Amino acid sequence: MSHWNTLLQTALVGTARQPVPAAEGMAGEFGGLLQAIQGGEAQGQLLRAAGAVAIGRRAGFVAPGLSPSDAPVAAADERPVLKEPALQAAIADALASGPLRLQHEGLAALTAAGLRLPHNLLPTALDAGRRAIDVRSAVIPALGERGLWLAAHNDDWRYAVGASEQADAQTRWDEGSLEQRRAVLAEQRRSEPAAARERLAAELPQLPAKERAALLGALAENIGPDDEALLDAQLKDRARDVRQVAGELLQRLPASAHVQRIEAFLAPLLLQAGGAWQMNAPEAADPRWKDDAIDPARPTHESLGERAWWLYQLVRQTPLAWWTARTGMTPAALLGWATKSDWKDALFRGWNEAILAVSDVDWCDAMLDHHHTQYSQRAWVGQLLALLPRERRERHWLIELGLAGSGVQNVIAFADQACAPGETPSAELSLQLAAALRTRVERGDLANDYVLRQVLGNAAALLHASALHLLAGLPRTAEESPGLASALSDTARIVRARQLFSSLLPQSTSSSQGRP
Amino acid sequence: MSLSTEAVLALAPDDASAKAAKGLLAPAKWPTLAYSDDAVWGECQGSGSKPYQAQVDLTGPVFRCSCPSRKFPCKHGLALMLLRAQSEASFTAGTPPPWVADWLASRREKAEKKEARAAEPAAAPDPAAAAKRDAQRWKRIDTGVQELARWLDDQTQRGLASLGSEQQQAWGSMAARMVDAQAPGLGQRITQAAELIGAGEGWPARLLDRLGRLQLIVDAVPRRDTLSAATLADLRTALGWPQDRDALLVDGERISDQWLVLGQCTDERDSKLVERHVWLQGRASGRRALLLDYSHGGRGFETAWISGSERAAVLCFYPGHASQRALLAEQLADAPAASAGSAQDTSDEWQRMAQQIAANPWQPLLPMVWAEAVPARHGDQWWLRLDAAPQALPMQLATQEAWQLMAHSGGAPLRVFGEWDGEQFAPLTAWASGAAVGSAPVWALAGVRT
Repeated sequence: MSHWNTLLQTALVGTARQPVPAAEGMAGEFGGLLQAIQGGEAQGQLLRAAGAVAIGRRAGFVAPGLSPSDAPVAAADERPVLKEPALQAAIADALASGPLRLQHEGLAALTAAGLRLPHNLLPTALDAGRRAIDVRSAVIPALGERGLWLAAHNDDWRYAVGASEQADAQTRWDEGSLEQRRAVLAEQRRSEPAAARERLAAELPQLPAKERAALLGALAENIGPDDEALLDAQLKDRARDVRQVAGELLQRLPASAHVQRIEAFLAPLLLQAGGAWQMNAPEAADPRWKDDAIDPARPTHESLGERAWWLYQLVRQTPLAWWTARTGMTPAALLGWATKSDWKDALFRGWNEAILAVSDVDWCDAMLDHHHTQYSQRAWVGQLLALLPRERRERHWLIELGLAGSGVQNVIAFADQACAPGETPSAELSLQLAAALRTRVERGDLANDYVLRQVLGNAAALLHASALHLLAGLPRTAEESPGLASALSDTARIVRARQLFSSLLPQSTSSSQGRP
Repeated sequence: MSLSTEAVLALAPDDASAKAAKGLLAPAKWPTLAYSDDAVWGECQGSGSKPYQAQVDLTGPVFRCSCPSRKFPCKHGLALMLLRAQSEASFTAGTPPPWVADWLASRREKAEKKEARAAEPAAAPDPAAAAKRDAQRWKRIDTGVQELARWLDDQTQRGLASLGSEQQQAWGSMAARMVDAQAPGLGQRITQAAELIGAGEGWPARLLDRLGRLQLIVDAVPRRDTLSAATLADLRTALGWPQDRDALLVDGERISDQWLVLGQCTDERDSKLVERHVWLQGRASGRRALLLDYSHGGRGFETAWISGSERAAVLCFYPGHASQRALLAEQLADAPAASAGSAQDTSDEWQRMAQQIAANPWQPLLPMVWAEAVPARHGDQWWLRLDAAPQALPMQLATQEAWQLMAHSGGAPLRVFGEWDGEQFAPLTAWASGAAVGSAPVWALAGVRT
């Protein structure tokens, strides 16, 4: 309606400067009405006409045209949807406000039961995965076709966009999300390692750094001498993450040129003098280091000195076996020796990272035993524990827990760090931990111990399902502070949700292995 | 009647109550859980020695609990209904114990008394005194409206382009003057118009639209003697002159029907004041109705409505042309005989809208049902594509809710109900396309909009 636009022009400029436009060209009753307005009182004339036109526009509203959509409609889901209202509510609740471990467990239980999320939970689940990378591996398989379709419509959910889960491996590799591509690669590495390596090599140059690092890591499966050339080339990658992954993988190939070069750098620094081994650090940066991803420039906030920084990088990339072979010492003896060295910090940090990179269980055990007596390096303990198979790991926890259960907070914190989402400590240890916690709660410790409140919720989300009954129905009193009441009711909600989730699972699958 | 978890959570007066209710869900906390045809009740072990007694009259649903909470419904009532939704097997069928039966009986009695009162001829009000009060109010409104007319003229003489955020305060005091002049409806329109200044692209056009329609109300006031009774009623509503509910229940147009709850929403008005819209459609009459309620301080609403459900009732409509607003006059035990005609014909929503606006141009919101609508996102804007046509309505919806609606659609059509304000469509309820009338919606707007 062009008359509206002329009215708007006048309204913008003001009737003091521009007269109210005549209603020319308007026919019929409406035209007559506008003419009558024009002939009436001068005050309010502009708005009166605008009001009449506004009402007319409103009554005759024509919705704007939108170019027809050619976006595909979501594919039908073959998997049945989770229908049980109590479980739906528990998963919704976990996604909205539960700990990450609980979110992971609910989604994984649903997927393991062959079900998918109901439509109304898809945005919440996709948002949970956007916030926490650790929960994505559980979110994506629970989405179903509708969820994958939805993710493609929102940039924030790009991580979940992938090929249809019913598609073949090639399609999932070509069109899949990073998670899906990693899964395709890892699967192929198990049966045809060479073909998988070629698939990756062809793709690497086009990928962003984060994806290069993530996919390169998949070569750990079935790694062999044939992988050396590709890994060696990645030592010169632009991205530090990629260089580090390549270096860590090459450590698993002791015959590789990279390992030989690193050992050659290190050998002259470790000398026997007067029957004792003596550690030195490099005197100057070596220009040849750049081929092996060793950074001569010490980062600004690095706590090590310059020479220690160089030594640490060499130690980190040296296979652990080199040390025992060279010195004839056991890992435990080496650790004892290193504590007396000037270069102790560089050695320990380098070894710790080497242990984590290649998951050397014997070194790991030795390092943990060493840490029990040396409390200086506790930050590493959780990560090291995570490497061990469960029985070897839990031996350390039992020492920590103590006969009186006084270490229960520390053990739960370590176990929380060591168990990947979806894993639990063993049933036996879980029972001991839950019993120790229950004793403390019944004794009234929660009233003043704020850390214990936090630990209680973590334990409820972490421990093996068979120990949960000990954390259910904790004693309540009339005079609880709001903080205490909320800790207890959060714990009760987590326990209840997990008991519901375990009803989805066949009872035999609830045990878990060490972290892969 | 059985409610879904979502439907129960939609009844919570605030998020804190919903969260607290979820903490009470272990059946072990409830020594008693039982139901009859009309009611559900349970005893919940609190921290004290005596358990709280929570009960729900399912004809509402109306909640009652012995706990001291001022929230309505309280966490115990919500938890009771959540448990019912999630583990029905925990409840036993039974005869209501005295603490439930007495309450149900007193509710029935009160309803009967109210009905009897409504049937009695109203105590003869003093017509002379009423006329005098009306005349006084009109006098104050006349004065206010004259001032508003001059002020509006001032704005247009100077031009809207010169407006900026520094004028918003002046507009706020003008709105306050209209409230003083006993025309709060005008004050509200000025406040809403002031919010448009400088807000988004094309704001002057939206502002001109608002001010133009405001001018029409201003023009109508001095001409009120020439208006029909119905138009005068519409004008009084537009001015924000409240109706006397008792008089309305006596004089108003009554329609007895089987009412489908099309949808509902709650909006936060001022701090702590919540306004609820419940939209109904009569199965036989095809008439659409708006029940408008208010609640203060997070207390919630006494009677709950369940979107997608049907209820036999007599509604009493406010006077005016094409009146939508109504009061619930009477709940009926049995549905009135259904007519053959279907009230679900949505092919003519545009026609219906045009007629409504022609009948009463001051109607702020119009209900619309679209049988085949596809929610879509283009750029930064949500749209509702209509009936496979290239036409689409701009859609006003919080992001999280909009994604839920998308999830339910999957790119395929839904039946969508919502409110149209002339510029934006606010969806309130969605059903699978072709779902039976009276079936549960797949999606309903939840929570209080701020």
